[in-house]
Amino acid sequence: MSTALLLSALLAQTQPMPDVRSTKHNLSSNSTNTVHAVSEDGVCVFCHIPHKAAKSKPVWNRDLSYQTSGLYNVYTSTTLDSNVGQPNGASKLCLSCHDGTLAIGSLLNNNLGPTTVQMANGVTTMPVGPRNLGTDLRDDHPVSMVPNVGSDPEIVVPPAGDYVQLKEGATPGVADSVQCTSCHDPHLPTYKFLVKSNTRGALCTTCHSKPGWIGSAHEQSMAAYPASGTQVVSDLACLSCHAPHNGQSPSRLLQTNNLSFGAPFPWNEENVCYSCHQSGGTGIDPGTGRGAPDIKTQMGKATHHPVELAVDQHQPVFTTHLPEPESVLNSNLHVECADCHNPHQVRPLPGNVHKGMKGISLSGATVIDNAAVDLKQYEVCFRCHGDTFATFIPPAPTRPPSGSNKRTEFQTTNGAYHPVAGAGRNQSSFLNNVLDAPDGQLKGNDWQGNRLSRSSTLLCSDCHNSEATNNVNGSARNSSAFPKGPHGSVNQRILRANMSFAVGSMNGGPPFGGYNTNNFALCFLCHDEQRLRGATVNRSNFYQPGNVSSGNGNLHNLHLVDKTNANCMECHYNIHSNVEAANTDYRNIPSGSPSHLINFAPTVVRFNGADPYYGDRPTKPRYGRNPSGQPYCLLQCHGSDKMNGTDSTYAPPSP
Amino acid sequence: MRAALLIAMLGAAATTPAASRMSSIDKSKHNFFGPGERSPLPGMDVCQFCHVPNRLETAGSVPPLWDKAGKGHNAALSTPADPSGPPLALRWAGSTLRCLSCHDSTVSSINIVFRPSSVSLRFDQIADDGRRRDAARSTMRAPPEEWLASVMGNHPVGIPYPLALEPSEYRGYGPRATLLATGDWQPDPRTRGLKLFTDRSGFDVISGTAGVECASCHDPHGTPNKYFLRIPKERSELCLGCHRK
Repeated sequence: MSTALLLSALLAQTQPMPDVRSTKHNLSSNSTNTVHAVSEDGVCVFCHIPHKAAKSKPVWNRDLSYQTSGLYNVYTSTTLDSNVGQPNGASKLCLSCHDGTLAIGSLLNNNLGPTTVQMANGVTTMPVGPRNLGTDLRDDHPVSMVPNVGSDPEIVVPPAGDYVQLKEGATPGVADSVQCTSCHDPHLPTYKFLVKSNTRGALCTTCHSKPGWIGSAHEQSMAAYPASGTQVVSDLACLSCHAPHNGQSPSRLLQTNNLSFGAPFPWNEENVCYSCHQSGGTGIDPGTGRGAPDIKTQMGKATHHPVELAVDQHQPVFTTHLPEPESVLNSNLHVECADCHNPHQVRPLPGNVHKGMKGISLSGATVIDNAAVDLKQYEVCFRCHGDTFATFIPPAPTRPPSGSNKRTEFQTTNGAYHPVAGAGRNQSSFLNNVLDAPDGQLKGNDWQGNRLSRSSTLLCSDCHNSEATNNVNGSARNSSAFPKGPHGSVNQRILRANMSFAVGSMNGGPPFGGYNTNNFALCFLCHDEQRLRGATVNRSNFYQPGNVSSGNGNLHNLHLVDKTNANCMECHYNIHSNVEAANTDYRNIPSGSPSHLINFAPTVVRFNGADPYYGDRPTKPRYGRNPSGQPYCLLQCHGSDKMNGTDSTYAPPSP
Repeated sequence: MRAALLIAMLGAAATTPAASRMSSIDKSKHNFFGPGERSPLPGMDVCQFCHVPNRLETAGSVPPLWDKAGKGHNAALSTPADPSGPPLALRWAGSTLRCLSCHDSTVSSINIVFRPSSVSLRFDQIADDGRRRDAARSTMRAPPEEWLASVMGNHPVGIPYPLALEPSEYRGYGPRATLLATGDWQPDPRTRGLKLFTDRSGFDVISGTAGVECASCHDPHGTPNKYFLRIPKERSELCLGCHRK
């Protein structure tokens, strides 16, 4: 015996390694496990016997003949590229206890013949619980599957030398399959017999390569989960949302177990997220001083993205599986958290909360967020609020025309739009606080941190956001409110601040009483109220020198306060754009030339007479330019025909 | 002094397993006169059921001296469990082939190559063996069902062992580094009473050439343990002699 050999032998004797005998798989009578034999003192014998064993590798001491074809329901999903057949290889062996069919003590051969070893505590088959997988394996990670790495770049085979390995499957002698033993070594005295630690998802990510995971909000979170626990979200990693066994979802092994609250939530998609994303769902991340954003509360507000309406309608859109199980242009009536966020890649604000998503560009093309392309917020919104608006968000009596096609509305070639996809068409100096600081008509900063100006762009979420974000002027991005985003609001239409939609003062509509700032709180977050009400110097571009009405050269003030107590929406009915102006007749305003977001509410009535400039009789309320290029309105307000064209022509002195 | 030493040595020898095994063949089921029975036949002893004198022309060239004609193995054993492994002809060799010459279930009787001419060996002169009786004395025992198609269902033999945790080459199997990767092996099962083999004649069993045969676990000459096991199987100590699981 060599010295080294002697040394190693001595080491083995003096430092006994913990082995299978110290695990739950020690079923012998010497074990202290709940499941153990009354008198059989063998350990290996419950699984192995050197002769008269099942025809298996390794030699197996349980009769596998009951595992007939079709016994098991196997995993399936719309994003699965590999074939999952009936269990084979080592997985069959594991299942001979873990499917709960055979008695644990039922052995092929013990002392020269079949034996049923008597187990203590009255145990026969695997006790009911998470370890008893049953024969329905649809809620378990697929096994006996040759991973199809060719069709899915997010699946890789484990590198040589890794503890995780493919194992023999249908082809003898070829280790090409995912089996139970790829992740578990039934002899290891480790946590759940795992071949290596799954802290930070190390085990899962051996095969599941998730681009953008590193650095994502969930990978980085140091919030304790459960809230009172010692593990943090980043350590739990994949297991925060996925369950390799006994998943709650029909596929993709999602779990709704909220370790902070006890029993699992009922299955639906948003409950996966709510496991953390509710009050007390996690502890406080010492880095950010916050727990997981409480989205559940947001989604419980008066208006919200209705994630609760659909169950099992959503399919992944951030998958590399082709064809996509769900078109990026969403026509399948539902919305779930994962329609806007990719939980594997999402970055916390001010990062890209839509990282890793797919969207629809302004031109209608599919856009994929990746290292080279940063998906824009509106491109995510266009998935539902764009070309599929008619089927996805149908017009309804209770729903204003905001359910229209936002992709066409925000085209930068349009005559008027709020500047979401590009700078706006109104480049008047009166719409530029840079030139008119500090009391400009626009106020606050835009979402990129610059002073709002005529060249600023907006986010959809600058208007559609939690009401808590109205604590700042300008972009909601600059609010300290947490969480932000168009999840839900106490205001109508998930608006960030109150906005009165009461129009129709002409024909017996709601009595407005007097002017009330709060009716237009949303608009005044960016548009300075004083500029709209200033009678003389401080004014908007809707202005007429002289005496349209005494002291009321500022025509916004005239409409809002002085004369009519009109609502913003009377004249700016669709505030997104002028594309869908069903009740407006634009005269001498060529398509695509600036039209100042003027489109009249359906309740505004046409002028009952001829246009003094052009002689025709308009069939709708008219907004136009006279032959001299001066803008005018031709319609009835409050039963008055003062808006008769000549009297309603205005000429700002310095546009 | 010398006497004292001798006594001490004898005392030590008496307590070693080797000493207790010396006559255990007589008490074992491999004594086909009957366990514990003496030979009723002058010139015929228990050894001759398996071994032939080295002067006999039928003696095999490879020790231990065996019927040169040997015995084939059951055709059912021609299907390897591991199709990627070396041919079975390479692996069914050495002492394992000796074991299989009876234990492959093809032996129809105690077929003895050498016996004194005066001896007429009949079944009834051989002490009753339960298993042969059960099998109507036609075969050693009914062919084990699990051997009908392949050797699967049995612990592999003719395979390398990573003695001293170094990859071994044995019976056509090249060094198997993957076995080592699991680290699931005892450095030297011999320290626990098990036996390793080498397929290279004239060499001691050293790391790099070690292998496992039937006789790694079983001693056909009898042991105090069940099933000719070299060490007791209780508490799985036998398995754990090699497998560090």
